[in-house]
Amino acid sequence: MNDITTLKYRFDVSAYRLLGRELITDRITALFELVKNCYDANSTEVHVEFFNVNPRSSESKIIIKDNGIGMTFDDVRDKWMVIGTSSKRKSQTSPTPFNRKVTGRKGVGRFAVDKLGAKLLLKTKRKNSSKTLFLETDWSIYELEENKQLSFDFTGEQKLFTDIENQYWFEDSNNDEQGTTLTITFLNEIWTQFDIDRAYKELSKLIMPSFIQKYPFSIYINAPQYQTYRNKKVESLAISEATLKIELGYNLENRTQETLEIKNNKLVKKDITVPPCGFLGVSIYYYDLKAKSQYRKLTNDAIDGIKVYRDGIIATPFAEYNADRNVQKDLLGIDKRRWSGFFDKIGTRDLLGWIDISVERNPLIIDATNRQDFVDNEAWQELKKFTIKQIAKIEDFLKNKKEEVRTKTESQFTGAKEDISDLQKEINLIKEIPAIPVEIKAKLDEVGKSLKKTQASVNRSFKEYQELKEEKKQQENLFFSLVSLQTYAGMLSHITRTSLGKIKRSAEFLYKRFPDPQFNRQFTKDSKRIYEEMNKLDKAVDFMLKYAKDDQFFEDIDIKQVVENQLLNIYYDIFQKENIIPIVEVNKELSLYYNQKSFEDILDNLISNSMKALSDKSGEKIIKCSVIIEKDKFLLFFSDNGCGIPEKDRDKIFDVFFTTTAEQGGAGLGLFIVKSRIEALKGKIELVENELKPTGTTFKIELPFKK
Amino acid sequence: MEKRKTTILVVEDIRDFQDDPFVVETELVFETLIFKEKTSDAVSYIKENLSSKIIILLDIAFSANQMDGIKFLEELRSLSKIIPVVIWSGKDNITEDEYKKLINDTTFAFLTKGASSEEIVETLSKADDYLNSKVDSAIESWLESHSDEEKNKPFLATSDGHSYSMNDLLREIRMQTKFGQTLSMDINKLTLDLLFRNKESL
Repeated sequence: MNDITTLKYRFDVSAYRLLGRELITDRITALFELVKNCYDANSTEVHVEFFNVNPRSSESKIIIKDNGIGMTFDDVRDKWMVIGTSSKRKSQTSPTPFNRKVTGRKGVGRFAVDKLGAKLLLKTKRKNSSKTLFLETDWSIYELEENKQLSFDFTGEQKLFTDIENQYWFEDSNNDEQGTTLTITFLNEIWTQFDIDRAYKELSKLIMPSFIQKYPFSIYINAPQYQTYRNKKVESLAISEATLKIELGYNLENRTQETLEIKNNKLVKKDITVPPCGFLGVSIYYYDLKAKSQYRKLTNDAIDGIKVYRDGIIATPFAEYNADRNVQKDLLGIDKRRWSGFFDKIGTRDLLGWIDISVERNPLIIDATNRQDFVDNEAWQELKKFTIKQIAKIEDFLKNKKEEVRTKTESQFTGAKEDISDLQKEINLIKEIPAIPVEIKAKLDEVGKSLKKTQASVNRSFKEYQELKEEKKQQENLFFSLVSLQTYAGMLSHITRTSLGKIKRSAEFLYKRFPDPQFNRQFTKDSKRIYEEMNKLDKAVDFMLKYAKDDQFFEDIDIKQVVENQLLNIYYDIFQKENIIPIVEVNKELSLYYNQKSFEDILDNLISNSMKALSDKSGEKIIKCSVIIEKDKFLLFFSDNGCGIPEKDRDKIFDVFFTTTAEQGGAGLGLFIVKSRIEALKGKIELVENELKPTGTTFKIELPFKK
Repeated sequence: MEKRKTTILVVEDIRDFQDDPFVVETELVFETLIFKEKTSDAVSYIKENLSSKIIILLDIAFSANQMDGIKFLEELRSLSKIIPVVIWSGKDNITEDEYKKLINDTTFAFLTKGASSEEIVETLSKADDYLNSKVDSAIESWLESHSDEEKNKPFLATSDGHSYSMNDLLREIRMQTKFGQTLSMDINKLTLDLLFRNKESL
């Protein structure tokens, strides 16, 4: 019988070369792949270090150290030392509880090392193991072998790749440690700062823009030879693409909190005393259109607002990174402020960021029992307010910048027009020089004609530009009107419903019971009521119709009539319901040349604010409006005896988007509209000492008028 | 014509309505009509008058610093589940959540502020009829007709060993607990049984 014998396939030394170098094309990719392995091994920190890399020497070293789960001896023998292992693909996620989506490619790690240097010392340890495993691989041995085998007179035994021995040993160590460290020496190439910059850029792709995930991952690059790389933390590339980066911190010792402020049209940080919600770490990144598309390209993701992290872990709404976008609620109320379509506002689609709180610093920020929100206490309100304030400052800053550009564009237009006009003059002067040859004159004529065409173009462009500006202003006006209209529509619907009901029942009683003498008193009452309610409805309809009229229409307004109508008729029912007493003190002979709707808008907004201030008041609630004439000025005082405006808010109340009443539907527009309208008339509005005591608010409006 | 004895409790904070024509019309049909401007006052009144028959006419939209109409309903339902409530609302935007609450807390009917006096009186009368036809109401009235002393004494013993005084039964009926509901159903069955046995005398 024949003995059955077998042969095994083996690899020669160039096999590894083929595999490795085909898979990893350059050293930056090599580095990238190795760091990805660290990520897949549940590391929270990876240190990539370059020692003596420029110039290259026997002292040159690259160290990649992580604190991941490490490898057992079996792992090393059966995975690291086995070519083409499918170990990575057994699962698409890293071990629990991290469950990270695996990023590294199958089995290319060790070839990446080859791309970087010839000698590798691998050191790895699992937690709770008492020993660290060391493995030494010297690729130069393989190289030597290869060269030997390639030389002509090679007669020795063909040593194969799989025959080459790699030393390993164990050393005792601390039970608690874990992780893998790759120390690569005999580097293939020199690493300049430029090379490390490239590595940085590549590695930043591994840093998630949503910053702190449940299990964070940080990369540090340490290359002591270069100033910028002294343990530099790799920042997300997506964040570095942001148009504006705001990072606000705090100082526990001085008990100060950083906040944003605009100084000389620039965004600067200011220290204020710690807010009632506690110290906050605030990071906000704003992306303009261009930055947004860059972000999308880099991350395949969309920008989705500001999140709250407590002690490094995402708090509410407890939706992890990459979760369903629709589930992530805007708990800070950023978009709530927005009336859709309003210009100059930024929302959760323009901003990325996080509010960093801790149990220690912010003990009053508590999760709601349904775990989908925070308990709506003062601390949470303050946190929201603080965040919104910062966003408001950013919006102001952006608006100012736009204004700057606009002014610049306008002046450039004017400049261009002047230049053309000057040029034409020059040409005409030249043409008048008698010694000019005919051909030149002809040329000059041509140039002159071209200039005329250019001038016409510039004039046209400028005209269009101004028309666009005007259009935008009208849109803004229309929008402001709509905003007031919305509030008003609500009121009107209430009035008509209640009025109509009363009229109906009064009429019903009359026709049913008349002339039964026992109800005579009632009949008089009912008739009177019908009359009064009809009057109210009449004025209300009038008011509504004003909105249909042209905004720019100016007329002589009877101030007494308008103010009384507003406060005593139109708002009658609402004031009744809220138990507010309106007081109107207007001199008889007062007329103002203005647009009635705009004036009514001003009153509307002031009333609305006063009502909000009075909503929590117990006791007598008063709204008072008085008007007097002083020399050539028309003074209107608008007061309430509500909660008043806190000191810290006084210089901000007229800022656009500043609101402390978002929950009550405040859009932060009211006083801004008022101020804009008043200033458009060359008037002014200011907060003065409250007329009604002990608490309250009084606005003083000054309008110049022509008698 | 004899007026209905059930008290109409109107919970409405706009004082104007106290002069509304519907008041005159309603007072022609119901003996007692009471206005309470504050929900807290209304709750106190109900607590003190649980033994009388009440129907509530409730305005949903109270101003912000008072107990909201919805919250008032919650408080009411913690006192008694069998008092009928007619919602009288001028509020345009009742949210879905609020509707759920209203329906689930057994609102008897909805009226808008534009309703005629006739509609209002009709709805209140219907609520009164409903109240009178409910066995729970009848049981409640009968129990309440006893003195306080009697009401505290053990009155009913169930087969599984529980003992109930009249006050206990009142609570069970008002809160419409399982036992309270069972009691009503059993009494119904008994009544029918008795009626049909003596059907000649019906």
